Amino acid sequence: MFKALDALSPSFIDRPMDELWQLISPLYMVDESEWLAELLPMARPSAEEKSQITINATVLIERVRADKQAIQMIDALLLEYSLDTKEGILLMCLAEALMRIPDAATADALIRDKLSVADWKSHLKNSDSTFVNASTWGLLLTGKVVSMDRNDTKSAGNTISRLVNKVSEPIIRQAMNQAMKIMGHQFVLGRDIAEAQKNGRPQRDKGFTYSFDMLGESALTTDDAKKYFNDYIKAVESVGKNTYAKDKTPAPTVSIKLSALHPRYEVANEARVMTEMHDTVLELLLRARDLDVGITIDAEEADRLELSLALFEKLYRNPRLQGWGKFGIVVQAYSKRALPTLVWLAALAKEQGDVIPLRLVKGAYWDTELKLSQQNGYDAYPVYTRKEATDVAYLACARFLLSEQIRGCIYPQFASHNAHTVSAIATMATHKDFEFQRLHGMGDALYNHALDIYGVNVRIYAPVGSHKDLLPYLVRRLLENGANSSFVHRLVDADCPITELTEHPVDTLDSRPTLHNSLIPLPTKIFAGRKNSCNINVDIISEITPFNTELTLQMQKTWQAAPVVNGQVITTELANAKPVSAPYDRRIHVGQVLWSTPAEVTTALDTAADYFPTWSAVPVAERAACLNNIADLLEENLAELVALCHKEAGKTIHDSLDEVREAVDFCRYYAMQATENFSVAKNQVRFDGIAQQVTRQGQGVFVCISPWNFPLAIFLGQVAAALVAGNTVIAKPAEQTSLIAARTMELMLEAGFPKEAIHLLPGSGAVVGSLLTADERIAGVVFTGSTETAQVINRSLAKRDTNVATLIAETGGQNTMIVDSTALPEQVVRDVMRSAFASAGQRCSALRVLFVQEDVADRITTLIQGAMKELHVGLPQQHHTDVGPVIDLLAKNKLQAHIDIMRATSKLVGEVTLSEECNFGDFIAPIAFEINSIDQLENEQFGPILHIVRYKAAELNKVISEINATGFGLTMGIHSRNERTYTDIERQIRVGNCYINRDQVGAVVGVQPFGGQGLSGTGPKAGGPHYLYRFTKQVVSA
Amino acid sequence: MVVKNKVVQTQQLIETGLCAWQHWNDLGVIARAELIAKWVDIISQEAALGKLAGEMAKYQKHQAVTLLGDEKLMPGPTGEVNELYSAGRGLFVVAATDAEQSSTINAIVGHISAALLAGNTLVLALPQAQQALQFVLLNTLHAAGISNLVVQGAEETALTALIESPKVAGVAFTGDAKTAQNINRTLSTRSGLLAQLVAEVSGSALAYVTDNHFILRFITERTRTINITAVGGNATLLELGGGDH
Repeated sequence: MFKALDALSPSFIDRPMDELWQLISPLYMVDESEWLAELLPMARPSAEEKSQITINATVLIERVRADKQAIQMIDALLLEYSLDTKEGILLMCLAEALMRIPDAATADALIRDKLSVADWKSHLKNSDSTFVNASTWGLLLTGKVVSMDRNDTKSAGNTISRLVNKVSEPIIRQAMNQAMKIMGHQFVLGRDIAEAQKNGRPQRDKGFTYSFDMLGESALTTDDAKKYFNDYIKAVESVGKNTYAKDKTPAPTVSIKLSALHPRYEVANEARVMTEMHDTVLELLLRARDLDVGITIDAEEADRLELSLALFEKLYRNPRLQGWGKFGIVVQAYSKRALPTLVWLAALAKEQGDVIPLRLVKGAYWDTELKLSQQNGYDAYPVYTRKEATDVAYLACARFLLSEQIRGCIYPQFASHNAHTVSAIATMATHKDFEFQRLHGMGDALYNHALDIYGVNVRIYAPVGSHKDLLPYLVRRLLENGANSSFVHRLVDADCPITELTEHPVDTLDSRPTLHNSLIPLPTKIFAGRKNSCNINVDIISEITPFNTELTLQMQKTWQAAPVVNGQVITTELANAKPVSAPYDRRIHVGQVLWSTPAEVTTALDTAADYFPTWSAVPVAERAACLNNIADLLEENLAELVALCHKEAGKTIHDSLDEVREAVDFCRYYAMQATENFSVAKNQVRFDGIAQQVTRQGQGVFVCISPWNFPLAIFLGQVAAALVAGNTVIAKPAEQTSLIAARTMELMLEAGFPKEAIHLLPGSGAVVGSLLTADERIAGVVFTGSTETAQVINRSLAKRDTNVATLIAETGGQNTMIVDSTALPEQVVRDVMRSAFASAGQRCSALRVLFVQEDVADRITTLIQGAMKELHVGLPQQHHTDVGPVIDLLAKNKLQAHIDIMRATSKLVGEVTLSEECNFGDFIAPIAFEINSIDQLENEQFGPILHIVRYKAAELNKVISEINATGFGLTMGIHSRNERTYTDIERQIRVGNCYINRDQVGAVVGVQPFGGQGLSGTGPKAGGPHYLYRFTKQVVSA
Repeated sequence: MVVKNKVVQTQQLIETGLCAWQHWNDLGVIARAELIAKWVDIISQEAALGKLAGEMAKYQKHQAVTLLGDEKLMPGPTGEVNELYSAGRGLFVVAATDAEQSSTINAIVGHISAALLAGNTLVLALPQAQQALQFVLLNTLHAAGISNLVVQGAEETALTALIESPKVAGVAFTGDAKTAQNINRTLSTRSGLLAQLVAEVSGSALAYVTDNHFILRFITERTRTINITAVGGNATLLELGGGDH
């Protein structure tokens, strides 16, 4: 590991750039405590420095607290409507959504939803700020009227209040919109750059300067990226031409958000980022250089750090920008990689000789980073888990930036609203070649006094743009990453002792029992009782490089599949083996598969039936141990399984990794469930008073028939559940994906499953499947596939003259999503793209029919069109491929036939073009149509085909009835900011898995147990607490 | 003509049961358990049902509340709420083969109570010889406040038509294994959804209906996932990040 203190050695940045670059990535999710132990000595003040910081901070806080003007604007708002109050959250939620709603009815409903449930009156007059009271007044007024509406008595008075309500609704809406506008003014400096410059003059007069940013949602389409580009150019030109206060304060700059300038600013699309996006940013930079307007690149999510640095370097080194020294970048101190990033940037600057203005922030995506890491099961977080750890890292980074050898290489810009941090930096600094930065509307008083005391440069980072676009964005950032909003309370809260605010973060961190935060479990440990499946982050160089080396080897391999009965791989009829080719390129030979003969079916049945009593008597703990073993083996063989997913199933990188993870989760989850529920006999008293001791035991021989779309996860999920519950198993994998099943079978035997307990019979449903389901020894069947096949199986089982078998069937869906006009279009479209087109639409859960409220349908379909243009369909093993092939020619032809019909009868919304790399495989280009009603669709189309229906807000109930009338009930998505609306839809829709304000695919074992109702399946849900019970029977043991 | 009327009647029963389903299901397990508790009180006084029928319903009520009473909060990543809960499957038909034994009555009561508690509506179609029993069951259920739309009665002759309808979610059967197989065969020939056959064929042992997870056969499971990051759902992290621990 990189020795942090080395960074302070004057010659450290003279090392080769390559060598310094190598220091960055390995720290991505380095052990937090170990790394903090490295950083602490750098941040630790000398006794003298510490006492000076404390004195300075105390003076600063005292002055702020004595200042009558201290709490204004956003500070005041956040103080009164803190995000830890219900009212605070509701107000922000309203601000996030209200202004984008085009139709009055939906807007009124949202206002009612948010305002009628909180105590607004208590906030009135609590604050001295006229702004806070103005908005409270608006809320209160409406609160009164809205509360009348909730009076349900049928008195005459009620009629009157309803009348009042009716008359008042437009007034309420107006008042609320007015309140939002007032709020917008606090967050946004100006609606356009000219207005922002004008509004910024009073602060310029005081000696502050600005960095303007046209913030907003990330661009999803090329059109939106162009719009942002034009806004940025306009801003640069306007700032360049403006000479106001030029002699008094440093020149204002413009900050840019890279994700606004390209629809695919992500590591997967590195090639596009380093060419298309590079050219766009270069054009902007050249214009800025012409006008001498400094540009700073904002920091975004941690996954993009390495990519942003590569892009920065390429631009920085451009000969046309050399000699300028006003191209800057932002580094987030909460990132474990911050220090080596600074080192590398300093070396870059030193090598070229152009100073890099560098804003050091603490980081504003903390909550998001935590969520992403937990969802993805990474080993650790890319950020620190304690606030004081970030503060420590910030000071360590500051120490580096303020050191003498960095002067002239980097111009540090310290962004913080924390009085102690400001004082510490002012104290640590031995020169004045740096500045402070603060957000518009925040920390006004703090910096008024800091400017006065220290005479340093202070720049205000100011969002510019229409309130309608910007307020929702800024408020959403606050809501999503609330961790930033707490400082203001403590600074101005007279009850909070100053000594608490002036404690040095090094001391605070030292006083903790551990350097990391034990209340925030590592992503691998978020589930009690079992380990989360591991994952690698393919966007991080240090993670993907070793994995790719191994994967490349595995991709050379070919595989064999044959029946495995009683532990014997039966290859006697090898001449009949069928070749397997890759779905993305039929010229690629992947291996061969030998199908089972009736004789092997019989042997498997005999053995499985004979062995059942033995296996059933094996202690649950032993059976569960086998599951845990196979889970570990899957993780050990990750690269090979990913290669198999690519080559046999045509799965993309993310899909392949998710596939293995799901299989691992299934095994660990069922192992845990079985151990918890079936290990010991339970005492119970029957209804008739008879005391008995009961255990749960397997039912006999289970047949597991799995699909090709989750050839590992569902295959193993079924088998593992049946086995751990005490059944013996005969598994028949899908014809298309026998190789991966065969490899898994090998691993299962290695994991310790007895050879008599599990048998693999590759082959067709017509031969192998029907022989199995006709046999009287079969106690149960687990099946995932089409509704029709499930019925065939059911009939075959029912024909037998024996006890009724258990049938667990997971079948098709006609999955829908409903979007109302309160939803955030960019979020909707991102989720639609993933739900409809990821895995080439070959997920049971995939979105087929999108219902969009007509008032926002144009905007959303335009975004869908634009986002589809950015999708890359191609070879699944390439990182930049979004959509791979479909499974085979049969599937392709079926989908194509549907597309042909739709083309003739419906309006085409968008279609992706296939590149040449698709020529030799079975590909269907993602396509979207607009249709009039879900009734136009008869069957599920298992591919990347999206249907869009517009609906009128007033006809929502009709939409719900139509969806229910299809008889399918698997997944459903809802996008709405109105809690009553989504609660209502969710209650009425008959589906197994409902997802609100997110995508509707990728159910996680033990988190979203998966399975539908009606035509979509029998239940119980796979990966849920009731699943295993269906594989067992209760046995009275005493 | 007579046959046609029978079909129309059966359709009527099915439509009525399905219409009543949403409201019955929306009541929730706890509210339904209260109604079943009233039914327990009533049938405990009903000599025709034997002394253990009430105990059977009480047992099923206890299991329902224990296993299905609360929406289960699932663990998961921050910024998201995941809940698992259950709903009824729809309309169930309750059937039995001829038998006057008290164990049969107890099994039928077990089926009725479990199916209702889970959130299903019912059509009772007991054998001709047990129409008197069916009459008592219907009367007591209605007297307990369970609507006659939620639990309806039919003659045994309607049974085949009922179970042939793809709209029926399942059959709760008490009796011999052979009849169970026949019902299963009929159900399997239907198109549409796969019906559930819940069959107590163990005779007086009542092995199935006393299985402590028996009620799961009558439910369908649902999950609800809400992304709460955009509504301040990460606010709890705020405390975790800065706490003293």
